[in-house]
Amino acid sequence: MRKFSKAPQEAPACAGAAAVSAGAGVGVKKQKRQPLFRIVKRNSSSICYNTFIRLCAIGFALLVILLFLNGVTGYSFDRIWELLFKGAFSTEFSVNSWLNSTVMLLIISVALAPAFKMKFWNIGAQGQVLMGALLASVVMWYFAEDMTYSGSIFLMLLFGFIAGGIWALIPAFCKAKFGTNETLFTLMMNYIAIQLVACTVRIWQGDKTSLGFFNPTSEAGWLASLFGNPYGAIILIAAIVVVFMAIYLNHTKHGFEIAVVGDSPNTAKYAGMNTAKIVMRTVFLSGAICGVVGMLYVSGVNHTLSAETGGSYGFTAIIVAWTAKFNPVVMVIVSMGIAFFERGAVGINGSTTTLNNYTSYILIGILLFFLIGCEFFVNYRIVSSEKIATAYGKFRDKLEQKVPWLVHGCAFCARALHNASAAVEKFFTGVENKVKVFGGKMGRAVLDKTVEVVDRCVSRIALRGDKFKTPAYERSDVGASALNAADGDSNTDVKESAESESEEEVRND
Amino acid sequence: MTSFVTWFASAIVYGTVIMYGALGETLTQKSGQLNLGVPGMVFLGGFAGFAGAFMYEKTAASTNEFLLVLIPLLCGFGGGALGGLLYSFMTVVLKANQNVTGLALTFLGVGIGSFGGIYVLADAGFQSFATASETAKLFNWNINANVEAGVFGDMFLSYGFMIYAAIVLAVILFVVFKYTRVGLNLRAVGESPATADAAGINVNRYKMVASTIGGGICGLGGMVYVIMYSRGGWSTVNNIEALGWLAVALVIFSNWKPLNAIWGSYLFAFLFWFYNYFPTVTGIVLPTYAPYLTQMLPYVVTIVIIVLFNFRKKKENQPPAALGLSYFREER
Repeated sequence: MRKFSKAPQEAPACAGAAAVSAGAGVGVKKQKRQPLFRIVKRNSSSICYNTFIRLCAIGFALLVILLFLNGVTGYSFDRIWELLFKGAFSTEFSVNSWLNSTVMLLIISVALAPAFKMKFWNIGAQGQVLMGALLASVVMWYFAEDMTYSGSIFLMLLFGFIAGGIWALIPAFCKAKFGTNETLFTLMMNYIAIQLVACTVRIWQGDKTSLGFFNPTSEAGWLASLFGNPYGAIILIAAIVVVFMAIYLNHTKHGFEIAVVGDSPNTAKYAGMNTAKIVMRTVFLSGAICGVVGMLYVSGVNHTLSAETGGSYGFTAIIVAWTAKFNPVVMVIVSMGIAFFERGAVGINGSTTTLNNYTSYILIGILLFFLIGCEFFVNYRIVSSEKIATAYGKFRDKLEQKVPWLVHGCAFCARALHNASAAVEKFFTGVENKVKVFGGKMGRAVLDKTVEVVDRCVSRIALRGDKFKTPAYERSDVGASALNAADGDSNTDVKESAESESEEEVRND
Repeated sequence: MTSFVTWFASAIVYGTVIMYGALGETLTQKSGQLNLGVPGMVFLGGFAGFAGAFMYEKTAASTNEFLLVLIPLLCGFGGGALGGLLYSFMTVVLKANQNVTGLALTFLGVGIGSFGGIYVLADAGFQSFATASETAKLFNWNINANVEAGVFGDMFLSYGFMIYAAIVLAVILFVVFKYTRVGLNLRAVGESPATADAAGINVNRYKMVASTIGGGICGLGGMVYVIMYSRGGWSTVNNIEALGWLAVALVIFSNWKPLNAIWGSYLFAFLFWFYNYFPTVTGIVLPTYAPYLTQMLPYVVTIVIIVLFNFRKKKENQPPAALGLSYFREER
């Protein structure tokens, strides 16, 4: 019935599979239609190209945002920029709020990174933040006034850490033991946390209309300002978390296990890893850091508890972590951008009545969609079909007969552009290599030592129970090979891409 | 007794909003698309439906009853469908991650809906509240107002046509999933896209159409909320988002079966209004924090259901096997 045998002969080899289903599914006799474009996965792409694509996406997003604001308010682009910057950076208060938003978003994104790298879709960050906030508030409400400053802060951090961790551990446990769908489970946990917090607030506030600040007179458990900034302590903790996570993910045995479980659970199983344990441990850590964020909100920012603690950052951070591909530096940049639009929207709102409080949602939504969409151009490339290529060739020939100078000029320009971009890319890879070699020579010994020490500390702290087990893979092997690979990494990349290019050409022919 | 009847009636209306969301999401998820943008699509539908009805009532010299009904229906469906189309464009054509795209859609949908709603009002010279009253009257027209049918009438006949349409839609979806070729193909796409592709089904087209229509149905839910539940008024908009998440919970609760969604949605809404009517019905005074605990129940029940079904590992009680996974033919 279906003409599987005939199709591949008619269509060229590369598009054969596409032609089969496009035509055969309908079951009607008609000319096999060849798709005009097809999509090919990129084998490797350079940092230069990826950055270029992302910058393009951000540029388009900004353009759409400006057009939107221009259409609604009628202001010129200059004025819109001015108002956005004014909203975000004009006073000390607004700069601090921007910093605060950035840092909170950053910590949650960083917290989610290990879980996502393991392909565990923890979308319950909001709930984990709230549970951390709830338990930290319990400490503040009942005990803080009888304790020293450092004691109360430490206890709150501990409670927030454990509460967030346990809230994440429940779905992780069910995932590891029964194989439940963690996406939906963690989502549901959010709303339970919201209601629990709302319920607690209701109980505590009694007959009053609102809960008010905790310990308003003694200010017990309030995070003191550091470096002269009210959010200094939060920024310090954020820095610690980011550095810790960068090392944890890239230079420890745990980080390696997370990567393996995420990429290929079967490999992990075959290598003798205890997948269930790794999942639970990682997700606990992820949720625990979210819980710390909740504590920071209660102790350092709001000094009170509400079901709105953390806002929608739990969800926004998911998108930040995903678009940054777990790269802490990119996370910092994206968080800054999102916080900028959030605060900047306030500035524009104040200037006109046609906008309202939800403007920031739209601005951030547009930015996020462009950031998500551009991943396609990072991971895939579009190849035009033979039909288009021949049609283009014919058109070119005809044009060449009539206006040869135009065609030759265009060809020259295209060649020049291509050469220039290749040169730029070569330059950048060269610089990258040089930096790597330089870094390798100068800092190898220091780096090795530091990594080793940190590594040992981290795995000793977290892995007490693993003492009696000998896993089938050896940490030293992996570390050595990874470090060796770092030297020739970019070289092999270039070679690979060149090979794949030529392969493609062969197939297309 | 009367307060029980009101409890029942408000649960039915409120539940219908959740039901539309859940039915749309069931259709979407059956094609393997885990669209977490339900709140966004419900918001978009609600906004579009309201804006359409409101603008028509404002601008038209004389309103036509047929158009009064048709415009909000089309706008609500269209608003949600646009959200679904954007989602499926991102996930199917651009192969973006489904969870992330869905959450971004929630963000954008809630933003556009809330912003646009207030914008429409401000444009018409109102600052905070306005109603599309004629449309609301038509949508809330019911048999019970004209025929005296006692308690039975109050409980079962006192609703506008969209309430009954939701039940009919659930039955239609059930039949389509179970007894038609299209439904079989759709389920195949959701269970194993590679197999479906090999059998000659156009996977991408099924995914896109299912997401778009699903989004449209979610949008109808938002329209019902604004036009029927809030009687055409656009004021308290934040509830819609919570309803969207309840709809996602209901899809799991109903086990991806449209017929279960009917009673499930009424049950969820019944629990939602528990704190409001339980004291007057039974005379038991609840503590002030009780509403939060009862509103938590739907989510708790859903989690119990998730764990229970996974524990029992019955084949017919599982989510679509390829739920949440992007399909790319050349990927092995």
